[in-house]
Amino acid sequence: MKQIFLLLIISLVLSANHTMAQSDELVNSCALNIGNATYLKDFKYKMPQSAVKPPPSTKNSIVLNKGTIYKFSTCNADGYEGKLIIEIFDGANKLVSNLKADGAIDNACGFSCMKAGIYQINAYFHDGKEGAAVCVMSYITVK
Amino acid sequence: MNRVIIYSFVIAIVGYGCGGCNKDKTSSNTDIFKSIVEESDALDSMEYETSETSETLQILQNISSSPVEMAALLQATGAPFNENYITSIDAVDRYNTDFKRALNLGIFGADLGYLNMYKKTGPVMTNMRAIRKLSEELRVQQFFDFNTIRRLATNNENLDSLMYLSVSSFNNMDVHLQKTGRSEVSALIICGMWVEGMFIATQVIKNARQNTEVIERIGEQKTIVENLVEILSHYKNNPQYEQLHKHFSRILDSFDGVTKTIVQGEGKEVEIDGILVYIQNETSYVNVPEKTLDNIIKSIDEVRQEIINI
Repeated sequence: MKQIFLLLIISLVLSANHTMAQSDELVNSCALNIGNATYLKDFKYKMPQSAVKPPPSTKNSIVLNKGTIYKFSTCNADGYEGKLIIEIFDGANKLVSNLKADGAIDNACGFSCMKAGIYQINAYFHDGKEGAAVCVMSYITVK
Repeated sequence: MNRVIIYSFVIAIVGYGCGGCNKDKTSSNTDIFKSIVEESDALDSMEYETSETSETLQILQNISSSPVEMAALLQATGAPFNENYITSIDAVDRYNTDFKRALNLGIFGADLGYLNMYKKTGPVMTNMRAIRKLSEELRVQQFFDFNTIRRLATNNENLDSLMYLSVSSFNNMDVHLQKTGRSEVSALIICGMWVEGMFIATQVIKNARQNTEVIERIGEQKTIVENLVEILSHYKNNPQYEQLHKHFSRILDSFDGVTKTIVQGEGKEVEIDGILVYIQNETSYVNVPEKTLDNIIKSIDEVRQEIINI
């Protein structure tokens, strides 16, 4: 009986580690396709379909530095309709988003920070569709 | 009961085995995110924690990359690399409690960012020995792919990947510590990391007072140290944390005199590297008087010495 429990625990640990490694693969592939930018941080999102308007969102506070151009790249998982929308807020003011005024969704947007401080990243899936995605935050070195 | 256990075991093994099969193929996005869905319990709890977490903790979770940004600024402003700013690994065997290990893992983590930024791959290997030892003793070594880091550093190849691997390892470790109820360890690593990043920057400024961009960045750190002091105040019932809280309060006091002004301007959008970039309409100016800068340099040096000689 003890041996069965031990085997069960080992197999579950192996399984969990493996799952974690797999989910990091999308972050890896996304981070390695950020172009002329240096990786800083990633955020993972997964949300079910929602009919609520506006769609449910997740907010994270981040510290941004003056003089840095930040790039927010999004990578959506295949098999889901939802496209990740990223918005950067300074308090109540929306500064930039990958959702353009004409409704097009870019896979990245940039923010040239001129005021050091605490900002918020707001994330949701367009039209409340079910989605899974990552956002990679990096900085651009202008040559 | 036995049957349930055996079924669970078989399912777990089959799941693991199939995952292993996928490794040999090119994993599609779908496969990867199926795993995220399967991981939903963990993610959901993380989201729950996020919504319940104070802004302070969220901010701390996002400053682990700040030494990299600081090192990038030093390099961009022409500050030369100086090996004397790096912490020696000689004392690593003395770090015999999780408190000491976590603080100094943060110190070595910031040094790693500095070394990577200046592409000093030789010292990276030495630095990684300390990180490996401390992370193993803290039971977080699984987040560091030491073999790949060693290969990248030894062969001097793909230094962008080396930087990514180093930073993301610390980020993943931080998320894990938060999720597993070890946020106090995470706070210590971040404290060590922040102090070392600041130590390198203030040492640069000691001999380059004309580097106004770096001085302003140092002044901007007042917000961070306010948050660090606040988070450490939650653990003050432990004498070691109480002492660290005092150290960081002393650093915060040294920022007295730092002022910030905001000037309104015109925001605009430009295209950089193929993406639309919004240039902010407000600009902050942080002023750090000479005497205040001296105090900051001194307090950072003293607290950093306390940590590495702990």
